[in-house]
Amino acid sequence: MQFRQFTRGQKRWLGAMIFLILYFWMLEIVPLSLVAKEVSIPPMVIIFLFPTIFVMWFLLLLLLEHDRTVMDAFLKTRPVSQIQWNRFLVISHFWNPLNLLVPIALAPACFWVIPFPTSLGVFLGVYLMCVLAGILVMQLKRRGKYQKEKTVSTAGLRTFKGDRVPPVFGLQVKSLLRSKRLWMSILVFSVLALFNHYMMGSEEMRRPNYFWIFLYFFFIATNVPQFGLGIEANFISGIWTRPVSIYRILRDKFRLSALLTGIAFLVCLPVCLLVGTPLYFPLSYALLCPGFGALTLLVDAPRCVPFDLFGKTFFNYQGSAGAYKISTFICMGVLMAAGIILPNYLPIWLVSLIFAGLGLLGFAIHRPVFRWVERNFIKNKYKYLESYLSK
Amino acid sequence: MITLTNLQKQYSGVTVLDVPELTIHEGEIVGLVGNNGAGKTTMMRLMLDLIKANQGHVTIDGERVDLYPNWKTFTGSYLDSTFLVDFFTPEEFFAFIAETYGFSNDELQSRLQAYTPLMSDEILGKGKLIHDFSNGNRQKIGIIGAMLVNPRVLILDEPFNYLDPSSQIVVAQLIRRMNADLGTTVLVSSHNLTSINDLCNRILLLEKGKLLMDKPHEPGCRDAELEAYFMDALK
Repeated sequence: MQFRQFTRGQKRWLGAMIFLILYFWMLEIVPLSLVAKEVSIPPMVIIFLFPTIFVMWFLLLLLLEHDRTVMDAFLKTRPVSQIQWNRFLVISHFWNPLNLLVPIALAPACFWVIPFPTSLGVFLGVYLMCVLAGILVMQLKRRGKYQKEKTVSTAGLRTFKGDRVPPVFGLQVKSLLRSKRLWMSILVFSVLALFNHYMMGSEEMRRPNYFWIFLYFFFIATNVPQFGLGIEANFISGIWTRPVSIYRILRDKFRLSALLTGIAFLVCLPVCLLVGTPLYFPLSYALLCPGFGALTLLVDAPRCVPFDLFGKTFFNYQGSAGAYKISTFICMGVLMAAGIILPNYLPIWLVSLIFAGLGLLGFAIHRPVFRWVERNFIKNKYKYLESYLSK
Repeated sequence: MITLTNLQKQYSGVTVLDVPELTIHEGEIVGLVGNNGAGKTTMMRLMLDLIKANQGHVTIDGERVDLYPNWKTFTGSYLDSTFLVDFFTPEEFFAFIAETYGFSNDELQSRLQAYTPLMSDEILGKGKLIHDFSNGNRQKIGIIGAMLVNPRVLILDEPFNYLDPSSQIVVAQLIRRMNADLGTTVLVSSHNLTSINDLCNRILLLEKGKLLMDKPHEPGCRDAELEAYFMDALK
């Protein structure tokens, strides 16, 4: 029964896994295999592959895997020995679809580039590395701070002093930093987007492409605003019965979006310099995405559903997006289309000028816009409050 | 002073609260009792402008709570966990309250001294988020959060729930002291008749949304009429 529960719990990963495998096959593995087929791969490279995959997979699992290392209350109160439980955990790692992701993704490269039966050995070796990394993560998560489920580290926040974030702005900053669902999605997507921007602009495949750098800024700028007041909806009574204005919350969300985009701009600088992207171009995106994108989303902020910060699922956003108006969707669609398409048809300097101008306009008008949203919220307060409290 | 005028709330056509007239005077400690579904929490939610009344209105200090938000600056309340910011530590939550009510960090620490017996070394300095505390400790954090602002009006829904007997006594003492020192008007609902009897100088009995009893009470005395009502309700 426990095994069935375990595997059922992994099903949500299957969809993500299939997507990632297809993605890697189509965009990364197959083109690289075609190049690698022309040259022979030295055995040292293959040997080096195993520890690399082990370390990478270990780090990824450390971030992603949920705690499945201790028995739940049902099992603890049954005659299940610790040895049986350990055996179950080890076996389940051989079956874990997540550990099959890398071997399957690398399979075309293995069997196309490396002659059989060495390729079979490489394939099984990669699989074994992933399983071992999984078991090591499991062992690690059974001790220390991982031992207690759900607990979030708050080191350094045991006193009133030393907290540099003002408490009301802290609502935004800390909800982001303490929700694995939020910061993890930003981190993973940022790395993926920057990596792709680098790959697209590298010497081997040099072609003008601003798709990934746009998505990088767009995702970071809209990550928190996309939930509207969904985070605050969880403690809306505590907000509404205290002198905290909706305007201030919206303004803080907007500021956080701008702050994150500013940091993202600094982070992407080395990659942009490496591939020769003109710096005024990412700068214009860094103005456009919060100034226009975040602002547009925040206009619809009251129409949200409570967002569970402590939820464990990685991709499920509880249908928050479903609460948006059609007009917001259209605005965001137009923004995305413009961000991706315009650079291919207009001179880059002109596109940058337009985007920067739109972004700056957003920054200039955000205060009256949020005042208007607040008035609208107060006009329909019972509709919103009752919908948040009924969830 | 809090007044409820012709206050009615209905859900799907069913009336859950119907109070034609009620005045709570300044400095009173009012206990609100009634069986499950009597309308106690609904009444408090209406007083805090969290839900819409189908008819009538609530005023605090002569201003309608649904029209003027000034009451928020001098009202402390805790009804349930939606009053807590559960991804904050207790320290951050109290600092958040201090910032919103405009008192300094030093003032906050000085005010928290009064709540040391209630926190009993289980709340501060633990490095834990409110989300990770037990129900009892979350209840304590919520009550302290409501009282920390030295409110002129204090509204607490079942504050003795989840609390151990010692903490229940401490909460009652804190409410009494606040009422005596600051003249705070208090409205407390509870299923615990002993606590209500010990604490309140006026008791309201709600049943199926109607106000059945409204009587002055001598704190510390048992109320035979009230006990008889609940005994009869079992039959």
